[in-house]
Amino acid sequence: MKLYAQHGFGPGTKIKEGITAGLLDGVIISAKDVSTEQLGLQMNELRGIRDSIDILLDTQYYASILPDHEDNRLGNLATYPYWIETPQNDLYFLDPKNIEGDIRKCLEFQTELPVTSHIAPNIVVRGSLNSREGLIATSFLNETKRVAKEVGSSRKTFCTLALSREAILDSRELAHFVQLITSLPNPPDGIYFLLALSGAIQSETFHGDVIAGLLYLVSALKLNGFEVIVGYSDLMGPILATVGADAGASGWFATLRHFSLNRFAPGSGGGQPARSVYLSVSLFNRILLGELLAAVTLEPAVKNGISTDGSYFDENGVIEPETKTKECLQSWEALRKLHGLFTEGQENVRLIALMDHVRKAKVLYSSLRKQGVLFEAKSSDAHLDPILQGISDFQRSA
Amino acid sequence: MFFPPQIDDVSAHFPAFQFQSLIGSGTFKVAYKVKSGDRLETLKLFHLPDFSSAPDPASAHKNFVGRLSREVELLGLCNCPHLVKLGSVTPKEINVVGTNFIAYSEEFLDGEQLRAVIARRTLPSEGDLLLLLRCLVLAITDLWEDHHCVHRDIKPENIIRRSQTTLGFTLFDLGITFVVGGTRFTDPGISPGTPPYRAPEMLDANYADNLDARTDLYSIGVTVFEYACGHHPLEPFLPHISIDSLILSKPPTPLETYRPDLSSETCQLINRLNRKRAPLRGSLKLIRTELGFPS
Repeated sequence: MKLYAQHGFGPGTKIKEGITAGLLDGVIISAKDVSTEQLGLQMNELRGIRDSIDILLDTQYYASILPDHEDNRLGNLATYPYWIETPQNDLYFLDPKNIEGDIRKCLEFQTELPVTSHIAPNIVVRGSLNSREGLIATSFLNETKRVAKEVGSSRKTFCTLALSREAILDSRELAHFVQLITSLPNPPDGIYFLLALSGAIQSETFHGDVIAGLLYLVSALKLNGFEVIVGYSDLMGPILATVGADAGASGWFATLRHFSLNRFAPGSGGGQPARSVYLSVSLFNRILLGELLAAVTLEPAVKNGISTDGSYFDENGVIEPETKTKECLQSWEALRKLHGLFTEGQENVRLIALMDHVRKAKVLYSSLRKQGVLFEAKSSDAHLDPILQGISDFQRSA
Repeated sequence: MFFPPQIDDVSAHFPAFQFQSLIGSGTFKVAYKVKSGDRLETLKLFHLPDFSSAPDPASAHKNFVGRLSREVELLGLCNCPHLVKLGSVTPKEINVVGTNFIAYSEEFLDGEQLRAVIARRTLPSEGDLLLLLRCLVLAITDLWEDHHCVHRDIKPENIIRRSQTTLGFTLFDLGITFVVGGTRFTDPGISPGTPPYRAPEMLDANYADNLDARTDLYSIGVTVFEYACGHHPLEPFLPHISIDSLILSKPPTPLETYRPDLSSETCQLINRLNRKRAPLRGSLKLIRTELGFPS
């Protein structure tokens, strides 16, 4: 499973260093965070580091469904040729010409860029799939390949599929939707999937029913010929690797590790600077540096034993990484290692490997707790049981 | 209820045929082995019920005849060597000793019904197993990709292992084939097919909205599983538990439980076809690729 950088605000040298170090297989550029003038230049610059990397553009067309507000955080989006200033509503999407026209604009724009594949736009299905938004999203999926052929690109075309947590949780409607999109006569080559959360809370994602739904969705897409890139997947990436997801992505802010339309809505302002964290492969989670110091002293297995550990440890113990770039590189390298743990053998073998890993993580957490290590909520093992529950539910209902 | 007519009584209606034997009879049909010149055919007679007490006799008669006509029409359109071919008699109504029938003929399939092969409890080799799977996948590929049809009644009783081994296996009985977008000849309130081979989605009241080739893949999975080991993947069937509830909720037994000698790739493929959710069985295209057919 490939690992992509989920590009966003303030990349600095993170992506370049990630590609140079061989930690990244590609990048998904955020249109909001790059001007149209800079887009091609930046893509070529990344390609110059390693020619074989995948470069994709998330058009972020879905942000156009947000209510109009002067404080919407749209960055450069308004300068893109496919962007429509007026917020789009159901009436707009009732006209198939609008859907076709907007797909065409997005794809035509990308044909001029050095992207390796195209990503067609879509809206976010904010509620159940049994809704107008569900129908609209299906229309985008249905039209993408035809328009791509007309645009005349020889590159693969993915279509965005952004579903809310609620859409995934409605298992009956999800089943109908999956049945439908896997029967499309002219489907896109792949899906750029986004799980849309209301916030960036880990418990929203790591819920047994959500995980079971995602495993079902990605597995079904793969078995029916789609390539699947999971945007903002972060720690969900290794889980979805078990059912064949082709690529996952993660970035340097929490907002680049979980997808939410809130990222484009007016901000609440303020907020504390993020504390440094370390992604432990064996704990299947990020932990704070204080927690890392205590944990690694008692259980050395918490340490990953990979090259980027050098930014966190010296002869005296745990140290603060010098830069956010080093923290980001550590996260990518640990994620890459996790991706690789669950991609061998057939699906059932992979799922067993993941369950074994999660059970071992639980044992490790338990041992640390018994020895007095206190974890904050975000660093705790609260996400592990839902993973096991999700896998079990997926297997039982398959 | 009807009694299969005597050969002598039927033969009078088909002077071009030399009647050889009665092949078998079911609740409403009877089949004879006949010869026309050098060619062997199967003459099928379908008992035409008395619809006079039906709420709408004309409509009931039309549906019955329509279903048979569609089956014959489909047989004429399909080219796959693993689907039975049409014979020389197109559907016609006949009266044999006071009983009405519709008759038509198909090519005679020289071989043994798969049910009889399974009953002998001789476990097939992995090669034989994959041969059955390939033949059935090719048959439904023709039905689905060229004619948008779902067979809906794939089971060991409707498959012949051909005497000439190079012919492999042949699927027949397209009597309840579903044509997507076509006229429905089965009662909307009834789920057609044979219960133990019916895919879970067939039990949905709105099943017609959800049918595609993956529905037949389920029946193929069960049939191949049974051929592989002599067991149904949802066994044991108990008298106080309905088969439908087992189909909907009981996890199927993995094939490797009965046949640990088979490769894990083959077991995984057949296990996947037995999944409850149609999209998780994989597309027909994917299965063909996995079976080594050129894409």
